[in-house]
Amino acid sequence: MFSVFLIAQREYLENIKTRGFWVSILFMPIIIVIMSAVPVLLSTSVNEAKYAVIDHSGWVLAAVQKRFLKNDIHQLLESETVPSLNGSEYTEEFDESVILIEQLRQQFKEGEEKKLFASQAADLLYTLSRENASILQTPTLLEQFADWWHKNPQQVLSIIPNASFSHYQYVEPADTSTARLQILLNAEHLLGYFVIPEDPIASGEGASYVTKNLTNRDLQLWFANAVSSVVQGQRIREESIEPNIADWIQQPIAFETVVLNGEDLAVANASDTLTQWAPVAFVYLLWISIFTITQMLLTNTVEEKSNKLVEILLSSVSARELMAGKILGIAGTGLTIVGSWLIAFLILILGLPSLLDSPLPFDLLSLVDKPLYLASFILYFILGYLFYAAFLCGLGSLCNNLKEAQNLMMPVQLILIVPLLVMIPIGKDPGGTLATVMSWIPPFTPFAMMNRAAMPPGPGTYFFTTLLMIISIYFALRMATRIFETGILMTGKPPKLTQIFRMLKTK
Amino acid sequence: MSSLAVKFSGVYKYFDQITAVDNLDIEIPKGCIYGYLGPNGAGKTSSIRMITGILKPDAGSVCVLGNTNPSKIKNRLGYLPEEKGLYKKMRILDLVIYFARLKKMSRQDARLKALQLLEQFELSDRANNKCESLSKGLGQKLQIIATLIHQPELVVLDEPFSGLDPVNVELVRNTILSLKQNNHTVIFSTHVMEQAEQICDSLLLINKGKKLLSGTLPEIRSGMDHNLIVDYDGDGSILHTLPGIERVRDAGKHAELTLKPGTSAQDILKLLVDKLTIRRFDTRETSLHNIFIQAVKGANSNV
Repeated sequence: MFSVFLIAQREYLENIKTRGFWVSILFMPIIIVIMSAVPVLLSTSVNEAKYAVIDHSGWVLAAVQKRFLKNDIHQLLESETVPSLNGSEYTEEFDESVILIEQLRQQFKEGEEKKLFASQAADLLYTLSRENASILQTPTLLEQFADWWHKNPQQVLSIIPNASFSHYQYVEPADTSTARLQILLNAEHLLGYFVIPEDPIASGEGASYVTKNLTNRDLQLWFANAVSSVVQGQRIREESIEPNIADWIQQPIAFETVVLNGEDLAVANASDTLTQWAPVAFVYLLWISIFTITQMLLTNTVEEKSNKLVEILLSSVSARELMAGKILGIAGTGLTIVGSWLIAFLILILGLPSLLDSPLPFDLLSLVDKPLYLASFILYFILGYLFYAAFLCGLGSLCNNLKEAQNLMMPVQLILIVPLLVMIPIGKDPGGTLATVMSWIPPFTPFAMMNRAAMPPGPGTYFFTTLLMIISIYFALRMATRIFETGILMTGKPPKLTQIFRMLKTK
Repeated sequence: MSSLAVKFSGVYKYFDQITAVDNLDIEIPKGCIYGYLGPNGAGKTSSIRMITGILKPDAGSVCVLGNTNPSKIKNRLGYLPEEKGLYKKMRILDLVIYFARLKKMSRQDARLKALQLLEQFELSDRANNKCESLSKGLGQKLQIIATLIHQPELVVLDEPFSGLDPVNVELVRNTILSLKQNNHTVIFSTHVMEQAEQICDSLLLINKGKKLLSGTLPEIRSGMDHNLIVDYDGDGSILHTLPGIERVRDAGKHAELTLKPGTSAQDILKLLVDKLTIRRFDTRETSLHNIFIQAVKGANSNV
């Protein structure tokens, strides 16, 4: 046992000096920072995608643009954010902007008032933008507002980051012939252009979206949705249906999502959804941890064999002690990495909001309230690691170099892909047949049980699946020891499967 | 108490369908330097691994230092295998201490002894360097230190001189001789017959897993032909055309000739004097090199 400890200690101390170890340690903090910072940074960056419209109807484009403006203005009035400088220099005009917005919010508190103001402001703004004009004298609040909006798009974006023009920019080429727009598309000056038919009221036939990029459908969906609403509105007006009756007819039924926790009912929020999906992220993390650390073990075993050290070691310790020492030493390394990830996770989710000066895009703190997740992660990391470590240590002992090891690894890698494939289906139905069956197949048990943590099965399932894993690990280690004892001293090409079976039979 | 360090009785070892060791009987006395010779693939490594407790025999018995299970007495054994490696990233002193600790030495004793041996082998100034900084020869010395640090009663050294310069060969040779003086047993495996000839008290020659020859050098040589040693200048190809010569081992300016029965040295000298400038002409016992070749070739031709 002392020899096992010595070998494990050496493995651990040597591994923590490697570059790979420190790269692994930094992996998690970097991922958390990227996950948190990228959405924040993206929200402040301006999207360059441009689009054009050939409007044969003569009125739909104007109506759509007014609609976009109206929605943006309404959103601004609803928002509680104040304009921010966003890096530009402070001016007295900035103060005036803040006061103007506040005045508007005070004045238009009622929904209908807001809608009316938004509609009027949108009309005025549309005219200003069409004629590239500006208002010289601004006697009314409406004109002051329109003038401010027209001149300060960056300040508008600082209040409503997802304003319509933050996503896509409408361009109006001097020549809107099809040939001309196609040249712009080929030159990638446009993401796409829309063709609106002459009489969309009668039929949508002839409407098209022309693009070279079929993977990004967001622009198409966003613009087509707006056109549909505008055309529907016009159809309603033409049928002389009262606008409020039309609104009522079109009003969808919104189901409120209520989550049941034990006997408590609570309206589900974003953090509840995150909590439900978090086990899937943990499965992925578990997979990365087990895959990375067992790979480390495999590489280490093959290197030791190719370094011609094995025979010297085996003259001091048994093959079994050597293998056990290796597995434990690298388990220690793995636990250090995983432990550091968890600590980094806690530190960063507490510290990042103040660092980024913005709340995190996901309420990660809610995960801390779920000890089952972290406990499951640690337990299934240990069980999963030991199970796969046995196989990889055995296989590694048969190989003289990493290339041979990669070939022999193929079946294990194929098995390891399965938990990734079923990760989302199990996440959607943690109590379903797939989840239940996978929980009882030892190579998949750690991943499936982690996957099910959002709707955990009963304690019996936890107990017996853990017992199953312990028994499986025992047999996997026994088999691996037999292979390791013979394989570690073998030279020449790796044995065939039949020879490996013969090794297993050797007493 | 047995006077034998190692005793093999009817030992067999199989690998898959190959018989690596075939009914081998060996007796190695304590306190001697024992040459363990054989061609490549003869079964030397397999039998050495059984002596050091790395492998177990499939049949027969192996008794090492009075123990029939050598894996139980690994702390009393030292093994320097032919293929040697180091943990490249480890510090030299740490590596020696690590191997000593694996042999159950206390940390304090291991450190003291490691420093002493590093000094003796002129490596103390590099004690804190990484192993990867050592040349092949210095790495070899380090491995010898790691093999001997726990003062094993039985040491197996497989090609201990490979990669060493003459000064270090002398250093290692003296170390091996001092082990013998201290009544430790040394099993010395090599393909360089001159080294075995100079250092070994007894020898064993195995081929295809079987014993071919064993005993002290005089015992092995008895009944063998005498050889001629010729140091010469000129075209040595003439040596191969001489009548009455069984075999020629020509090194360019130095040749060893094995005479056929009935051929006299005088006849050969007469033939050579006119054709080569002879600087030395001497008769001597058959070299171990020749014995090795004769025995192995003879055994192979009988198969």
